Amino acid sequence: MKYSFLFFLAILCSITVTAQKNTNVEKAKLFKTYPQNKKAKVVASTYTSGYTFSVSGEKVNVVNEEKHDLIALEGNYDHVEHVYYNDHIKIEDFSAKHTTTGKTIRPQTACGNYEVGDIFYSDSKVCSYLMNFLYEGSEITLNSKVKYDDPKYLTYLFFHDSRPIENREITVEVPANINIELVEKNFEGFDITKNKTTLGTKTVYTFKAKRLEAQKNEDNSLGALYYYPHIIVLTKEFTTSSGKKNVLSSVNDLYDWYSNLVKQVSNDPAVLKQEVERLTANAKTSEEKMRAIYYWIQDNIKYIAFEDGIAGFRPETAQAVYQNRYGDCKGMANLTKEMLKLAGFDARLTWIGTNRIPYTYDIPSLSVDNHMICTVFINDKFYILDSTEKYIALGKNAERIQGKEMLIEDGPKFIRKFVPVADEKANSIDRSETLVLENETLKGEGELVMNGEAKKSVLYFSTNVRNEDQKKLFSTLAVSDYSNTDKVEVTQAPAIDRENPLNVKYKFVLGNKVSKFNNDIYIDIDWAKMYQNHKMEDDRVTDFYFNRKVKTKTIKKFKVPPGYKVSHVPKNMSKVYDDFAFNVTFKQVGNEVHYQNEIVVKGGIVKKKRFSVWNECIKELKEIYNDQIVITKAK
Amino acid sequence: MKKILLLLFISCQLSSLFAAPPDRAEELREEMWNSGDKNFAIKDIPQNWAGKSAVIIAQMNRFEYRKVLMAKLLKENNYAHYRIRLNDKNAVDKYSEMSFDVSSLGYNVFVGYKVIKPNGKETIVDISKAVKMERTVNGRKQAYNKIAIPGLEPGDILDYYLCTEETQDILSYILFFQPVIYSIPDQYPIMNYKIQFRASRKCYINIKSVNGAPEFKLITDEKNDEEYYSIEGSNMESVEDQRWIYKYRELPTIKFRAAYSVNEGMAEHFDVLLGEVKKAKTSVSKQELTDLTQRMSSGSGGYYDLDQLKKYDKASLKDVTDPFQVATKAYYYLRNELYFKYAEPKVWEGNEDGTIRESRFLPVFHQFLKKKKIEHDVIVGASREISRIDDIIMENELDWLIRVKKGKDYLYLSPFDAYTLPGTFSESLEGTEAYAFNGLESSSKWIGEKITLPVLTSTDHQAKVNVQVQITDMSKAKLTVKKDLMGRNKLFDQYSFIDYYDYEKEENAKFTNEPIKRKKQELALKKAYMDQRDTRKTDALKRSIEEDYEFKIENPGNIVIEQTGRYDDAPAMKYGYTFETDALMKKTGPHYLMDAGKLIEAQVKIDGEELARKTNVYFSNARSFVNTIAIDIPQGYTVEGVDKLTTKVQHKSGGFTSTAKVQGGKVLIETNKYYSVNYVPKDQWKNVVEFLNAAYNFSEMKLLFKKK
Repeated sequence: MKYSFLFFLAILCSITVTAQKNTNVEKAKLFKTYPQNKKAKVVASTYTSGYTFSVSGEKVNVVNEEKHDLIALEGNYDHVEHVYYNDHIKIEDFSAKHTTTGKTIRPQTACGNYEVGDIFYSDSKVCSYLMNFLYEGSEITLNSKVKYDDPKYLTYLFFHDSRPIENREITVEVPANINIELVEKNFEGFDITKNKTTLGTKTVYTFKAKRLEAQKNEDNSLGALYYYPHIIVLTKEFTTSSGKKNVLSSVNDLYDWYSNLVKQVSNDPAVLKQEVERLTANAKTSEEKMRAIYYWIQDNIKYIAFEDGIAGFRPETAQAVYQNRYGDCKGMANLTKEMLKLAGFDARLTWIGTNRIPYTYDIPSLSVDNHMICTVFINDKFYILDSTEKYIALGKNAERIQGKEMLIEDGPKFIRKFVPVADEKANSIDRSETLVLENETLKGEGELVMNGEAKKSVLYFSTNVRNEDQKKLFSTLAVSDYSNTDKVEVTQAPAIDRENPLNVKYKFVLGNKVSKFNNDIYIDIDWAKMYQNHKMEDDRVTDFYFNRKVKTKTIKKFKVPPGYKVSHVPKNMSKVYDDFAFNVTFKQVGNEVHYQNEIVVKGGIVKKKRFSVWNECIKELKEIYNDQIVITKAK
Repeated sequence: MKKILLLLFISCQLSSLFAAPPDRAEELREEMWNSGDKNFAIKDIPQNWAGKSAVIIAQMNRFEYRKVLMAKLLKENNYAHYRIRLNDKNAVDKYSEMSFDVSSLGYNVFVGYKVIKPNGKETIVDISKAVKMERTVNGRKQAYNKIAIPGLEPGDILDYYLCTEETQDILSYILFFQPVIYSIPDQYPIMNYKIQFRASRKCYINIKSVNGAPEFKLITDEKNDEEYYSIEGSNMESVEDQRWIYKYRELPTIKFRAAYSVNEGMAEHFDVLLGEVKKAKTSVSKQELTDLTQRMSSGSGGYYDLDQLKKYDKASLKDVTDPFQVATKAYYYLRNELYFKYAEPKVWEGNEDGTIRESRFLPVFHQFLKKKKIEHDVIVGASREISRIDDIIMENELDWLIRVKKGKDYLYLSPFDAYTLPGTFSESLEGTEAYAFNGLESSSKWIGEKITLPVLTSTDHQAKVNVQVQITDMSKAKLTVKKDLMGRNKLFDQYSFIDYYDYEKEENAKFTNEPIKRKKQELALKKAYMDQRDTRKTDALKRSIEEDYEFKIENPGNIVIEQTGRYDDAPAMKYGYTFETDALMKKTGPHYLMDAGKLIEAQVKIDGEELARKTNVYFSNARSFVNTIAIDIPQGYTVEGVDKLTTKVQHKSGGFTSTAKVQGGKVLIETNKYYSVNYVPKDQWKNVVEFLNAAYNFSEMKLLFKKK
């Protein structure tokens, strides 16, 4: 049902090529010997970014000039340079030239909208410039000039880029009548030099770095803001002939700007009144009322985001979200607040950054948050309601906002509070099974109990797949990767119940988990083999984040058939650390073998410095998974 | 949908354009939503479809091809109207965000969406809320609209239409509109559907229903004083995506095409199954196929090619008398002349694939054979996945071949790419009925003989894979693989692992190809390609192995191409490579289990939902996979479980057999999985499942290595 633009490389069929006299093969060969360039096709010999602030009338402008001296490490390399723009950021110039001859190149160009993640529409646009480096050692210099009409939108400056950089320089030039602060983040471990000079009435900040690797977008990572050095630009205030003006000098300014936008929203509670009355008619307590409204919004309002200009920051009216049955986080938070207010609650809009942003509101910047929720105060207790979450219970908070600071409406003021952090037990997944051997197949019954993030995901998927596909989803949940001749029957499908753990009961008959060799029968008791493939790669740059705190427990009881004795069970494992733990045991209890496997990753994160210990655990775990229970016919 | 004949072209220029009348949007809205069509007023769905994700209550598709009065302009209009009951959230999600084209000069788009609640309340969506996704690419604007449908919930009905009206200049004597082949069943069941086809009086119309689709009826529209073709139907069950189905052969399908002619007299010069103006053509006669084949084989596009071939004949074939040899040598010569000589630069750009078009191939070869007085047939057929030859209605459903005759034997020749051999043709024509025309006869006297093209066997399309397995440290297995691939089974490997430089030498040994002086830029492209060639091949090998075996591997390499499979005297592609894996050996107590079954590569998994198959089974071709595996038994170990590796499931449709033994310190395993036929009736699906399951179960089998 959706169109999408063909990717530029497909559209831009003819390519500009470089001439041989613009090559520097020796330099390319030298660059190839540097470890950070191992997989690179192109390297920036130098990459400079200049940011020049100026006051124009009653506004502050920032001009960003970028220069990339690129050299290809292999021939016939097609390079696409992206320059982003939107309603507040305009591209004023872009040029590409042969570095040595200065001859102009005309790259193939595509400019306009692009699909941004799960956002339905935004004002984010991109210009993409396609050019070809014909030879190994071809050199092209790119220059671009971009203008910000409001310094709020200049949030942070990264040193790294999508390709390795030999020499990196960032300069920020600020006249005396503008007050900015540059906050350094993640500089530790990087050789970044800083310099502050005066140029007439201007202050010039210069940062330099050398030999930077290409920035990686790794799966299961909290993101670049946690790991790569960057500078947060805080434009605090400026002075004109008419006096001093604040931009975002403190969190007060940030809140003032946000709350002014909220004041522009003309909610019409009358539209919602009947629905609120209907939803709360049978609710006896405050919590029941809240639940009725909160869950109705989760179930009935679809996430569709429009981030067009100021709409990226200003909530849609509650009645529009209600009538449209869709909205973004701000719209849903606003609807939640308005409906709860009608039901008599003290509900307030709340700004927050998800866990992809490592900042608190100590930093007055638009980069500090990316989400909006609703907070309800009842006496001294507060409830956090994130209506973009589906199938989350009142009183539970999604992993992505736990521990994050909130900026809560409080009239002309605001309240700063942190979202409570739940422990890993809130995300526990418990499986228990009993198994018997029958004609070289494993026959059994099981129960799966899920909580927290996993439960939420399963409920969401099960209610959003086609009706026809639900059965298969639950069967796969019961026995992962079951094969052609296996039989899996779900005897109890999970109920849509936010308050209680998700519970699936099932029966199965599985072939191929049992191998018979003469008098010995080998039984592969744990076919899910959880986490066996989670060996951390040596070249991974960032910590590994499981997107949730982890606690899984599997208990299986295998009944040894009459006439057989247990001749081998895999070894036990117990590795318990502060951040993660693995406990695996095999025990013979009467005529049964009891298997227990418990894995915990407390914060949901394996730090890079802990990869070697983690990998040792995974190696040992894999050895146990590879091993099997052996029963032997009694003589 | 493949080619259109070379002689013809579809005009897509839009130089002189008209905008839509201002009230057109209102007219269409009225027509779509107030037509009085009772099917579009239905609110309830049958109980038996209540469990479906969505149900199409009514569907209307109308295709119009009209001449604009008093102007040299044609209009191609498409109207689609759907009324869908959304039963679950999945369907609501799917229809909550819709996209549609942006109108431009000469191309007008009209859409309307309304949401109907279970209580009957209708809300029309405000189209002005649509957002435009716009981009300028090299100075040209591209755009589409997106709209979020408000208020949509499970249980609602979405009633929407999407109409496009396109105006184009008449720049040629005849203009062919885009042909349509359309299977009616959808992923959702359809309560009522209607498909209309309206064409201007000067249009040629080809139209046909197959596989149980209702027949088109000629309807008189008295109000508008015109006639049009229409089919209507109801209660169409939904179809799921499934493997091994040719939907145009199995499901109710309609096909049609319109062509507009300025001048009936001129149209004769472009006659490609046009029939008569104003009269729908619903079948194609043998004579028409004859006429078309005659035109195809006498095409004038290949004079230069023919000239070259004649020169080659004079220089190299004068002593060759065997017709098959003449044809074979001529085939290789043309492959070299028309393909090889131009292939190298394409390789640098990563664009090596491609087949010489039959409109170029057919006339040259036919004229050549005719001149040489070599007995041959020109054959016209239709791809299995598209149509039976007797059901074709448009020329783009057809394929042409040549077969050279020698007594009762035939040598088939088809348009070539880098790897095609004389004696082969596309597997999609195997076993199909076709018409053959005697190439030595004057084409004006041609009488088509109905023939059935041969079906190749599972050994013609065979993959023989020899795997030597050495176990190191009882943890890692090193695999040395040699492949010997025939027929269809070699195509993927040829395109993946062979490039121009692998066959350059053998081609130059057969033909005198003057070295081409390359420009500086071309030499640079070649150097860049050659610098990266080994890495690319190794990467392709790794991807291919991991896809085939479905486990992680290390150190793929040592690719040796022993034989490219590009010549009929050595038709197999033979090559080898090595890799290592630690995915096969598992320490179990004091012993080691080996996933020996996985050495035959990953096998097809049949899900429970697939067991009850309602449609016939269409394989691309018969084929077989013969594995010979030798596993070195590690020193100091004995092996158990070999006896379990014997399997035998054989059916008419195919089978899986395996044997295993210990010999000379090795476990020797032989397996053969074969699909004997390219079509299996649905009632025999269970047999297919049985041998597929046998192969799958084998792939799960293990060997036990015990310390002596």
